[in-house]
Order: sequence, then structure tokens, then C-alpha cells
Amino acid sequence: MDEVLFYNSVGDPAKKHSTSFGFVSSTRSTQQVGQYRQCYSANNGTVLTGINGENKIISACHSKALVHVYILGKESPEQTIPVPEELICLELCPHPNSTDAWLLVAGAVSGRIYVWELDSGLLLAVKESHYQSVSVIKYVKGYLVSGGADSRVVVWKVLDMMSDSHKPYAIYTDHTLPVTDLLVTTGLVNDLKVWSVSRDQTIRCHDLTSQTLVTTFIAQQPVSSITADPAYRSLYVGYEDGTIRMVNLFDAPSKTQIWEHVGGYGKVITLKDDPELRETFVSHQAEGNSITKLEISFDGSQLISGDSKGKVLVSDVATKQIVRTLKPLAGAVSTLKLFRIKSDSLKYAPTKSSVRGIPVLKRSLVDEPELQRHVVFKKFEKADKAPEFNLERFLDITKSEAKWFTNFTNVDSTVKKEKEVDTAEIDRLREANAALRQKYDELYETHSKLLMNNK
Amino acid sequence: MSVEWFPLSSVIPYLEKSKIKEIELTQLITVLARGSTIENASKVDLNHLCARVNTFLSSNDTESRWIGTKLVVVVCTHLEILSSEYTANYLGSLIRILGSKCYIKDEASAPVPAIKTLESCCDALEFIIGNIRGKQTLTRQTLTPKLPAIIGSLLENVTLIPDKTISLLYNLLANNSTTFRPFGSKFETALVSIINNQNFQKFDSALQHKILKSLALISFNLTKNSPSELWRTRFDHFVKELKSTIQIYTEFMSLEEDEDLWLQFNALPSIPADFQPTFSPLQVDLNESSVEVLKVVSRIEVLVNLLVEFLAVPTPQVKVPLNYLVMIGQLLVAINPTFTPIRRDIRDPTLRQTIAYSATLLNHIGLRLLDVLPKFFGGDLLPHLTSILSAVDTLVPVHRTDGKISLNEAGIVDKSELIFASFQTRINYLELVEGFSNTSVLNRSIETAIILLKPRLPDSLANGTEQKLKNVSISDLLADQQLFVTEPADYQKQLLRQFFKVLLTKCQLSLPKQTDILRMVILDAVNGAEVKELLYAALLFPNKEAHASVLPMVKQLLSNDDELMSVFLNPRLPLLPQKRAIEIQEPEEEPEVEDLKRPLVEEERSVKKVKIEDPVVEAEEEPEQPEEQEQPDSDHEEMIFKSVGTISIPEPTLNQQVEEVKPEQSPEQPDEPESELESDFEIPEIDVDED
Repeated sequence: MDEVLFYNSVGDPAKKHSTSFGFVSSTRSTQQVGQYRQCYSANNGTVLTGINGENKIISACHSKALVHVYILGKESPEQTIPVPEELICLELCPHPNSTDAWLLVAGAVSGRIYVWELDSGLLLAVKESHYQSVSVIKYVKGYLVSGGADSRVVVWKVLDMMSDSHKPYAIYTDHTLPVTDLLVTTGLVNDLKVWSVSRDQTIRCHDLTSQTLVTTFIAQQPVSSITADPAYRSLYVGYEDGTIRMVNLFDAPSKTQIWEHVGGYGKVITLKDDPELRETFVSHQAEGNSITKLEISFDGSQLISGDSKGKVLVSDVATKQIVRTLKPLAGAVSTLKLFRIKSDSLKYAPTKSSVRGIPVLKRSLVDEPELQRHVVFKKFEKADKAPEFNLERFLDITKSEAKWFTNFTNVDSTVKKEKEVDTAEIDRLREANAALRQKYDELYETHSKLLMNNK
Repeated sequence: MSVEWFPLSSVIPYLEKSKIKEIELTQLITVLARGSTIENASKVDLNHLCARVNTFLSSNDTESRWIGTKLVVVVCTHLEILSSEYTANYLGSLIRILGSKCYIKDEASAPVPAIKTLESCCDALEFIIGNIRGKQTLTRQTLTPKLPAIIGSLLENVTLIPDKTISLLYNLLANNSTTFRPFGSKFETALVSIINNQNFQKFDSALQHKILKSLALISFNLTKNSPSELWRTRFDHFVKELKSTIQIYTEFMSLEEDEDLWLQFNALPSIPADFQPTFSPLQVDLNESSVEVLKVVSRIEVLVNLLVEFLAVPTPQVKVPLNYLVMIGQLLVAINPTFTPIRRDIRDPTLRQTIAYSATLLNHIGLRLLDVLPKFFGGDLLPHLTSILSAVDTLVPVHRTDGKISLNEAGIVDKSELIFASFQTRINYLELVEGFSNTSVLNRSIETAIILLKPRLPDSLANGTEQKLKNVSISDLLADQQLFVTEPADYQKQLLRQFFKVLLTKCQLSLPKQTDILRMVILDAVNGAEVKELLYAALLFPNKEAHASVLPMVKQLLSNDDELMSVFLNPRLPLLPQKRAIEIQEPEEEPEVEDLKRPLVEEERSVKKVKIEDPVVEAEEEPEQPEEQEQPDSDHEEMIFKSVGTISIPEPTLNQQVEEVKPEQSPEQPDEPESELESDFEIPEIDVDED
């Protein structure tokens, strides 16, 4: 098994983005799998539909109303699609019954949220979500959660977005400065929680069902990014001073000596200074450097972090030491996406039959007549599998067919010879027959002669 | 080398026509299927084996051929034989068997052994081809030269053994389209003639499915240029053909009276004047027999199934007119004598009833089409969700009295098959959503489900109507009516349970509706039904407005060793803070080491802090499990909550504001400071001060 990381940055407009690359690298080895030219976006502005086969990289170009689409394995953009306005962040929603991408959701600089159906390119919804630009969007179980520079967190139900409803499911207005990152937990709908971080130095957790503020952590620095342990045992938050702080979500208070979830019921908890650096990663700490993206590995043992100077580090969570330094980027790191793959299973080269792009994203909102002409682009596939030999089943079939060749009755209808044929008798009869035939022929000849003579 | 391998030489002598009966064939196959038998065999024995299998295949005797087809499959499971020159010989022999048609003179009355031999021959071919596929050299050298002959011989036998040949031809068509190209037209003609034949309806659904799938694939697969465009052209062609067939119904029913239906019908692609249908024209004479109308239904069913097959076959990226599929589904579901009345000029009551019945069949076909769409299109259908659910909702029979609409219970029972089918459609679509709140399209179906779950007497008994046939056991009917109570079949009950589950998990129901469902679920469980998943759903997705919990009942209804309930009642993970009485610990219970490490003053301060900070939690929200909380399984906790942050234990100092956590000691267990030191649990540094 291996883990590969896609990462890119906001790019370097001074060099016309000639040095703006997106890379795909292994986090467990030194292997670099691929690179993509002119792949730059604002923070959270790039998404991948997957990491194998015909999957795509979709990147909202930073400071431009354009989207670049790459097919994995090809360095240059396959498509450049104009969009209604400059997009800041992107998010993909998978189909409810599969892992294939279904919706492309984009947060724009105006605060609007755009929802495109990827199979058709139809613009299904445009919602006024924020008063300032949208900084991050996350999707989970039919809900879209967006955080904006207006310091609000807005939750939408995808089903409601497709209807004419303009009312979001919930709005959290607890932050006082721009929301920089979001983390939505997974699980049953009733258990979903939204963690939001902001430049106001708070990390807030809201319960999605009850729409209540569950916990607030107060950090020492403006918080720029967040990720969590896969089992939600701890949070990792990136500060604007370049440090990363680990926040344990379980604790055993000294008096009760019972493990308890930290926080809950609206508690506000101040994170203490950590002078001994037991819960702090300082690998990125430098003048004017801030953590822009964080990602955690499959087993929760490695933390991948990107900073505003384009440095991407893989750190060991236990020792807080750098394990690997990945190829640096031009500009602040804007996307980190980890994918779990089987070792050496990456198949990259697009073939003749590969679907190389996505439908053109429509710039006008879909209306009823257009929905009546709903056409989707699909590639129906069926995996071929070599037939398996199941001996038990094969023997059953053989027995079942064998009955048609078997006589189960007591009646034997085969013809059997009763006794040996007497060849001497046959010879005698043959001779007699020949003699008789000769006499007959003679008689016939005589008769013919007599008839002729009479004439 | 294993000593348990079976010597191949001991069975070789039996591989002759005269001696094969002396050994049990299944035993012979079992021996030959073992890898060790072949691996340990000598070269001579292997050659003998392969040659004799081919001799069986080449025999003129049907039984020997059949034995050969079985043996060839077994020997070809071994890569050593499959990759040998014998495979080509086997393919040649199998082709000859198919070519000879096993010497069947009269196909109408073919002997069963010959048919079985031909079918077994197809199985053997399918197995060998399937195993060769993907192995490039073997394919190039062995399979490709034989493919035209294989396809040709299979086509010869399409009418004799359609099941096997069409399946194999489909595989070849999908995987070897270039080789198949010269035979495409012949195969397509054969398929169309099979479908046009009256006997097509007599085929089992699996064979019909294979035939339609092959026809769908061959429609576009063999073209060299832009198969995706041809796919769309052929798809539209069959949509037009379907429209023209549905149009026949405009002669019987006033489809235009349902505005939505008529709009959808007209939105389907228009049929050009020179349209050439693929299937032969229907000849329907209703004056001759009212049952003739069912021919139209059968044709519509074939065409709808064919459209579905266009989605099931492998394609390049194609533009699928999802709108057509949704519209056809909704249109067929909406054909209903209530909304689209039968034309007045049809006066024969028998014919009118037959047409009404045929409309129900069309509803079934429409539901089947709608059923399969979520599998192919998933979330793409959500913009049409409300419209589809509304269309399905119209199938529920209703009364209209004084402008008030109420459910027609008798109609529901009468159309129960259709109603049950509609539940499956609702399930398939609701599974795509989370938190569906538009319950106006679901309320009627919930009431219908509850009606259908009720046991009932047959109408004749319940209403005391006159018996139409002479009834011998009238005393039974009168004395033991309970014996004649009918309930939905098990599969129908299972369907309703699935429907309830999807309602509980995916929809936001009103409290009364959810209570109705929970009542049915619990009654069902009390009566001994296997409704574990439904009980889980009831437990995990409670209604926001509900005051009472179903937890006690679910606990009682699920068996005592239910794993989820155990976790639910004995949570492994730490609970959120809750109010608890903090007792000042007795000095003698505190270990001395603790006393030394912690100043008493600080401890008292902490205790007060906890008392003040911990919010109040109502008792019923979190059932207290004091024993479980007080004595957690420390091994498991350490495993689960092993700190991810540190690898060393820092020495506790007085400066630290958070005290070191120690596992609570039980009276029976002595204090073990070593194990505590060995723990790699990290002391969290979180100030629990409330802001």
C-alpha cells in the first residue's frame, strides 16, 4: 500500500505562472508520480475526482474566472473552461450510491456558491451564501458547509439547493474574523459535527443536527487550517505564525480519572502555551510564514503540512520530526489531497478511449425547459473477469447432464446378437442362390430366343 | 514434492471410449482438476491425456463428445495445458461439434443428449476463451485464427441453443468487435427475427435479457467511426419506436386529458414520416379479441427493456437523454383510466376492462424502468426526484368525497401488486437522498403501507357476498374464519420493512407519521419478525420532536447478545461531560504516592472546578452506566486512546496545571506503578478553565 499526495499552490503571477506546478508524489517514498503545468488555485481551489485511470484534476485558476481541467497523466490542461466569476474554492460531491463525482461546488469571490452537475455541465444552483468571498466548502452526506471571509459558516442541504429554496439549513455566526478552514466529521447524519477555524484565533465545533455550538477552543494565534486524526482523537491546527498545534479531543481529568471527550455543551477551552513543544510542530516556523494546508495520513501517524512559502513537509506525529520534504512549490500551498492506493497500481497513461474532459460548465442557471432536455455524459462500463472454475458446481452440472446419457430403468433396449452367425450356412446359401440365378438367367435367355424365333 | 499427488498414469487407460464407463466421470474430473496431478505427471502421460481428450471431442458418438467437452474444461484449468498447442486442437474440435450440430436432423424435435452436448460445447468454448483472453501471445496465436470459425458455428446454432450461443456471441461481440464485424449483420438479423417471433415471450427473462443486450450492443459496437454518436442515434430510434407504439394507446384512451402526460408524450422525439421501425408492425384487431391489446403491452415492454439494455452494455462516453428515460417512465406510470379515461366510442365492457387492465401492466413497466435508473444515474436524477415521486404517488387509488381525498382501501388491496412495486421504486430513489423533507409525496404511501400490512379476510367472506362457485366447505368458512385471513407474502413484508427503513433513515418525517411507522415496526418485531435493521434504524434515527425513546423496547426486542445494543448500552468511547456527584475521596483509599505528588489544596481546587464547570445533563438523555464508567477496560482504552503526540512520559511537576492520570484502582487489584510508568499515554495540556 502507498499514499500519494496531490499538492499545488497559488502560483507565481509575476512569472506568468510558468513555475506554477501541481505535483503528485508518494508520501512514503521519494517517488514523484506526476506534475501538472499552470496548476494554481486559491486555497482549497483544486479538487481531484480520483487518482487512477480517467480521473481529472479540476483547478479554479487564482485571480481568473477560469477553470483548468487535467486528465491524470497529462501535464498540460486538457480543458480551460470560463466560469461566471473568479472562483476561490472548489468541492466535489460524490454520487449518493457510488464514489464517482456528481456535483462540482464552487465558492466565488462574490460570496456566491455555484453548483454544477458534472455529468451534464448544468448549473443547477447559484446561492448567495456569504457577504464576502467564500474561503472553503466541504460536503458530507447531502450537506454543504461553507466558510467565508464574512466570518460566517453556512450549511446548505443539497436537495434544498436544487429546489427554489433560498434559505440555508443553518448559519453559524460565532466567528468574528474570516473563517479560514473547515472540517466536517463523518458518520451518521445525527452525529455530524462541523469544526471551523478562523483568524479570530478560535476553533469552533457545531453540531449539524441540533445546530448548536458544542465546543470552542481559543488558540494563541490566528488559525489558518485544520485537520483531524482519522479517528477524531485529536485535531491539528495550523497557525499563522507557522506552528502547528495538536489538540487532544479526549482527556482524563485528574479528579474523575475517566476518559472524557474534551469540550461539549458550549464549553470554551483555552489552549495553553506549549513551551516544551510536546504538542507543537515548529518545522515551518519562520518569519512571515504561515501554515496554509494540513492533511493527515491514512494511519494518523504522519502529518502533511504546507506553508505560505510553498514548502510541503511530512512530519511524524509522535516525534514531531520531519520525515520527508517534498518538492517545493511557487507560492503558498493551496491544496493537499491524500489518496490511498495499492502499491504500483497507478495507471496514468490516458488511452484512446479515455474520457479526456468534463462537460463544459454552463454559465447560466438551469431552468425548467432546460431540465426537460436533461442529457448526461456517461461511459457505461462492465469489468471483464476471467471465468472461475468452481469444481463443486462443475461436478453438479456434469451429474445433472449425465442423467440424459444414463439409463436408469431396468429395461435395456440395446440390440444384442443372440448367437454367432454360421458362415458355412451363408456360403452354402450363397452358392445355392448363385446356382438358382444362373438357371434363371439361362431360362430367361432360352425364353427370349424362343420368342424371337416365333416372330 | 508432495507425496499425496494422484498418478495420472493410473487414469490414462480409462480415457478410451470403451473403458470410460468403468470409472466414475466425476471422480475422474476431480482427479484431473487437482494441480498436483498435472504438475507431477510425466511428459508422455500429459501428451496421452491431451490427445485422448481430443479423441473424445472428435468422436462421432454424442456421449463421447459430451464427455470430451467436460474433460476439456478440466484440463484447460491448468495453465500448462492451456498454453500448449493442444488448445488450438481443442478449439478446432469444439467448432466441428458445433458445425455438425451433433447430427441433429430435425431441429424441432432434437434429442436432449445432443442439445446437452452442444450446450456443454458452448460452455467449454466460453471457458477456454475466457481464460485465454488477456494473454496476448496465446490470444494472437491460438484464439484469433479460430475466432471467425467460432462465431460462424455459433451463429449456425442460434435457434437451436439460443441461451448459450447468444451469451457467448455477446462476449465475443464486446471483446472482439473487429473480428466480429463481418458477422454483425447476420447476428443482428438473427436477433431481430427472434424478437419478432411470437415465441420470444416464451423465453425466460434471463434469455430475453441476453437477446436484448446483444441487440443493444451490436447496434453501435461494430462501427469504425464515432460509436458514441451511433449509440445515440440507435437509442433515439428505439425511443421513437416506443413512442409510436405508445401512440396506439391514444386510440383507446384519452391521453390528452392528462396535461402533464400529454406534454411528456409530445416532448419525446417526433416520429418522421419515413420512419422505418426495426420490429415488424403490430397487428391488433380488437374486434377479433380484446386480448389483442396485450400485444401492444408486450411490444412496449420489449422496447423499454431494450432501452435499459442500452445503459447496461459497455459504451464509450455517450450523451444519454436522461430526460427521455424519466419521461417514458413517468408517462407509463401515469396511464391510468382515472386520469386518462378510456374513449367513449369503445363500448364493449370486456374490452374496456381489458384496456384498464393493460394500463396497470403499463404502470408496472414504467415502474421497472424508473427502478433501474438510480443504479445508472445516481444523483443525476435528483433534479427530477419530486416529479418522479409525485408520478408514483398517483398510483395509489383514492376516493374523492365532498372534495376531500381519502385512500381507497379496496382499490389498494386490489392493486396490491402494483402498489408493492411502487414501494420498490420509492426505496430506490429515497436511498439517493439524505434528510428528505418533502413528505407531501410520501404521506399517502405511508398510509398505504400500513393498510397493506394489516391481515384481512377475502372480500367474499368479509362482505358476505354470494358465493359464485359451489362451495363444499361452507362450514369451515363460517366456523373458522380466522383460517382464511390473508397477510402480505413474506417478500412483500420485507419490501415494506425496507420502505420503513429508508423512511426512518433518509427522510425527516413528522412525529405522527414516524410514530405510526415505529408502532408497526415494534408490533412486527413482537410478532417474531426479523426486523433487526429496522430496529437499529429506529434507534439511531430518532425524531427530533420525540419525547419518548424506543431504546428500552428495542433492547427487549433484540436478542441479549446483540452486538450493536451492547455497544449502545456500554459505550466504549468516553462520554461527553455529564453531571456527577463528586465524592471527597477517603484518605485511606488514596495511595500514598498520590498524596505525596498532589498537594491537598490543589486537589480540592480541582474538585470544586469540576463541580462548577460540568453542565447539567438530564438523566434520561444519557443512561448512567456507573459500573461501566467507573471500571473501564483499561487495556482497550489504552489501545484506542493511545496518545498520538508523545513517545515519552514527562515527569510530573508541580508547575504543570494538569495532573497525571492514573487508572482507578479496584480494591482487588494492587497498585502497579510499573505498568503506569510503561504507559505511553500523554498528559494532555488543556486548561479546563471556562472562559
